[in-house]
Amino acid sequence: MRESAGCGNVILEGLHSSDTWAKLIRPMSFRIYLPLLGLILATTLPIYAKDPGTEKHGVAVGQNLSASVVRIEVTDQEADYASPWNAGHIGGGIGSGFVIIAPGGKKRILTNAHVVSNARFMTLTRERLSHPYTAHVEFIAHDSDLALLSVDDPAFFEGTTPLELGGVPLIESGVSVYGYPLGGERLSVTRGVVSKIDFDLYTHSGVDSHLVIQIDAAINPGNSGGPVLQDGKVVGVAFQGYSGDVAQNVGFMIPIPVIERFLKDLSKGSYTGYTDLSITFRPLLSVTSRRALGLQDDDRGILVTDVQEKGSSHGFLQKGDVLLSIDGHPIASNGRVELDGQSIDMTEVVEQKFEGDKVRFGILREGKPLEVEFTLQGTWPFKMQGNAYDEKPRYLLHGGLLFQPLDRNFLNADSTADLRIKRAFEDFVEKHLYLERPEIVVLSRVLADPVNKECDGLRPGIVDTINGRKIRSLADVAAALDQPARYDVVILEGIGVPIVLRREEVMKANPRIMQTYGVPSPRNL
Amino acid sequence: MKRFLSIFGSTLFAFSLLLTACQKKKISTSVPNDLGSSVLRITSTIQYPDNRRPWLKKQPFTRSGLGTIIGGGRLLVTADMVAHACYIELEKPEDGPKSTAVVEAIDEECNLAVLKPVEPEVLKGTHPLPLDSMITPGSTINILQLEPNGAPALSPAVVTTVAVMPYSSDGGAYLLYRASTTIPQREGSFVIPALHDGKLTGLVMRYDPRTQSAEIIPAPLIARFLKESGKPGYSGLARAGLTYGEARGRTLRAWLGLPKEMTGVYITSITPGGPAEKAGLRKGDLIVRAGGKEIDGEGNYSDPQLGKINFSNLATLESSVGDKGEIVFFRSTGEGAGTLGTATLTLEGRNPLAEISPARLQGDSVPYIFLGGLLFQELSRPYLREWGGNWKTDAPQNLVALDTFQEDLTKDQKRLVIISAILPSPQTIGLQELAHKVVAAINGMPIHGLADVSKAVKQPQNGFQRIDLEGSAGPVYLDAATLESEEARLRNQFGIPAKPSP
Repeated sequence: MRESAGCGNVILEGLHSSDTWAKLIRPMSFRIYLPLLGLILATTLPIYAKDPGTEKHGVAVGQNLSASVVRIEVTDQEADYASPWNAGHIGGGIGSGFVIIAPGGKKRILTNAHVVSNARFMTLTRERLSHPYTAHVEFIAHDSDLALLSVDDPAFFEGTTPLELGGVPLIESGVSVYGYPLGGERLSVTRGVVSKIDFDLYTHSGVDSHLVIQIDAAINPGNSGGPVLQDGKVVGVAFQGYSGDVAQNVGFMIPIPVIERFLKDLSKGSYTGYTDLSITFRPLLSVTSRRALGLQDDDRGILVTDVQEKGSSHGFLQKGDVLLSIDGHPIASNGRVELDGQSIDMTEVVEQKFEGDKVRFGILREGKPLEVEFTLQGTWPFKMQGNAYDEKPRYLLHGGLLFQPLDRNFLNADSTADLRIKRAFEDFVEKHLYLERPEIVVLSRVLADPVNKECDGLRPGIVDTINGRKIRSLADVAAALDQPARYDVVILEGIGVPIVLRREEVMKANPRIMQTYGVPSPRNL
Repeated sequence: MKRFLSIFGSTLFAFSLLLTACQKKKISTSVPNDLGSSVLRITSTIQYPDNRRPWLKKQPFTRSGLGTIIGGGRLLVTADMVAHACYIELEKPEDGPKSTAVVEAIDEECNLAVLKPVEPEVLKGTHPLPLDSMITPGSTINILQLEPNGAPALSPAVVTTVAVMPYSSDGGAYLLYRASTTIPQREGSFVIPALHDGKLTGLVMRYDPRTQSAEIIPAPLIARFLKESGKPGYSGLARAGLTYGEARGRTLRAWLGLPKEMTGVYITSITPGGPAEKAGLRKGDLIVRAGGKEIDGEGNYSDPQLGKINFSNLATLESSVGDKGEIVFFRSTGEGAGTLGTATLTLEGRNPLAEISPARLQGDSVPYIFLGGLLFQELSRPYLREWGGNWKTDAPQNLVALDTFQEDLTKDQKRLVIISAILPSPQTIGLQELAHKVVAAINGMPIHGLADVSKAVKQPQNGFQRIDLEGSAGPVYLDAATLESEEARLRNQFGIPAKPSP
């Protein structure tokens, strides 16, 4: 069983969380953990604030969190992208969640997406409840690691107290973290202060960065999804931490602005997600750059260095534009904007918007001031670069040749991936490869069989053409191979010999290969 | 030529000779006293250039080995022994006059070099060794070392393999003798000769004490190198300018339409402007015969003495640059049919201009241009190797990819200029993340080499040097007027010596 708390690296850079960190999020076998629990339980008995004047930390006087914080036990099944036909490894984990009033007035459980991703079965328990209740995911946001659960039997909510959402706490103010870390059946609480409020990577998707609040209260596996309270109100959802080897007393929570945006987004009946400007920009800190671009000496403006054709800004912003203001707010030369007395990143202004909302920029184009306004939309093609959940891996098996679309889940499963494949993954966005093809298809493996055993040129690689047809998606592979042909000729990118199979032999070999390797279906498109 | 895959893995590249001290073996063969008169001790002081701080050289270090005296008052050593040497000293085995030496010819690809002593007295009383002819597996040879007192010592060896193998991890595969032997650790053995019937049969370039296996450059290859390197404008042994892949599978052959009794290799790439391209060969052609020999599906021909040998040997060892060779090729016309054709190839040496990221740099200094805090260099493999043994994962990945997949780059691309370092200054604030990016253009001029950089910076636009980078990085601006003074200040601050302008 895995204790979910998403121990992971939270780094400021763009799209990648380093692979070595991903290893820290290893499933910890509950069975191995059990002997330690006895020790741990003895020291972390639930603490309820009883004394009046237990002021600003966690709860209000008399508030009983055991009526609000739940323990979520999940059985999940993680797909195996290295053997994509397999249903996946069945595992499980424990996380926390809490009762809120969702948009529409109903009681729901708020927790992290990573607690309930790939779930096949989940139960909720809380103190003073005699038996677990089944629940299921109603809305899930992989781009901000939040999920809303509904409980099948409404009796679960009898005697529960929904928690109220607060605001953004001040730096150095006290907070308390409630949850069920390290297993255990009793609510646990840890205390700390707000250390830092910043924009940072959410490791669940690995590509999305939003506001994150760092606190020094202990956040451990099992705390994920649990509430962080100040003055009796929720100020965040605990979700990420660091392994003790790297940093101590560093825990992270999802702050109210992100939570509120999640709730507002789903209130229309479905969750759409974040929008994106889909541009690359650079601060303009050097005086020379500013002069060269014709900027005044007012320390404002950032430089647009790339615009994605399939993004929101295409047709409105151009490479070389200097962004001077967003929605009327001046943008400083380091990309910060003053909003409500706070200095925030320019991208945070966009963060609060929804699909279909407009954004207005004051820009300088070739020395001339201009105003542009456009509508915001979602974040494809970045999606391919983020971790994906709750989906069955797509693939096609033909003559033992395994074709898969290149995405982050595939790369995570194949740590020895070819350099060309790894570069294509980066270049998909960086070099706008998505324009020529919506998917990069990879020949990832060959299941050895007489039909392919003496094939020359077999190697993992990116598929260029099959039977003369340019391959731009997995569907193209199926289309090419579903056409009648005497030979199947696969040409990979780079230097190599064509891979040639005889169709008649492949047709005979396919059932044989499926039986030998236990492949239930030759394709999932 | 053919790119060898991982079958010739990293176990080959044990560069340190003689790591473990073994017991002194009793050598059964009697050692003729005059063997010591055919070698000189060589000590070379080597200073590699620093590719990341190109105004510097690295720490000098010494290598000692034996140079074999060949005809014409010359000494034969491996290129490893003297590449980037700033001082080479020769000495007779049993004391006596010393001399410095100069490198007369060197080829790092086939790892051979010829030295000429500056003071000829050091050769007094020495006897040159003649070159042996080809030997076959099973032959017994002797490896010569010198004791500290100058007495010669022999270790017997048995040749186990004669085949074409990579000489280094940077390409270049040539005929090689592998011999099974136990070579005791002795000082001054970085390169030592292998003898057979009183002749020089090869130079030992590597010995792995774990596998007790020596890799020896064969005398016939040495003879070819001596012949070729003597010609003006020598730039490497003969080659055809193509890479190939095996074509053994019967389905591939049937699809191509290759007749059943015919075998050959599949041309996977053609070097632009190289001999194969000039001869009209194309990617996808199958080479069926080369130089009159039949080629099998793995790329071997049948040598009467050695058996199956990779056909690149026909060019590198058996031909001269400029020789013409006839290639019979099969060109598929689709639908399981094709035609045979003949092409006449004129073999050429290495063309450094054809390499977008060269495996080696010419000369001892690394070219660079320093401009107002930005350091411009051309991408090369030696630059990437500065990231150490794991450079393939540790060096900037965009550059590793460009180096690894340079055949994917267009024909027009000559060299890739990168910003290899950014020294902090008021003009370069906020630009640190742009290090290791490739320069696309300067002041509007496309950049295909450092020479283009020199030209482009002479034409600033509106008082600025505008440097456009590839990808999504955006332009960099430098103030043209203050460039020189900025540079002088930074040179002073970081200890970078001034260079004469190119």
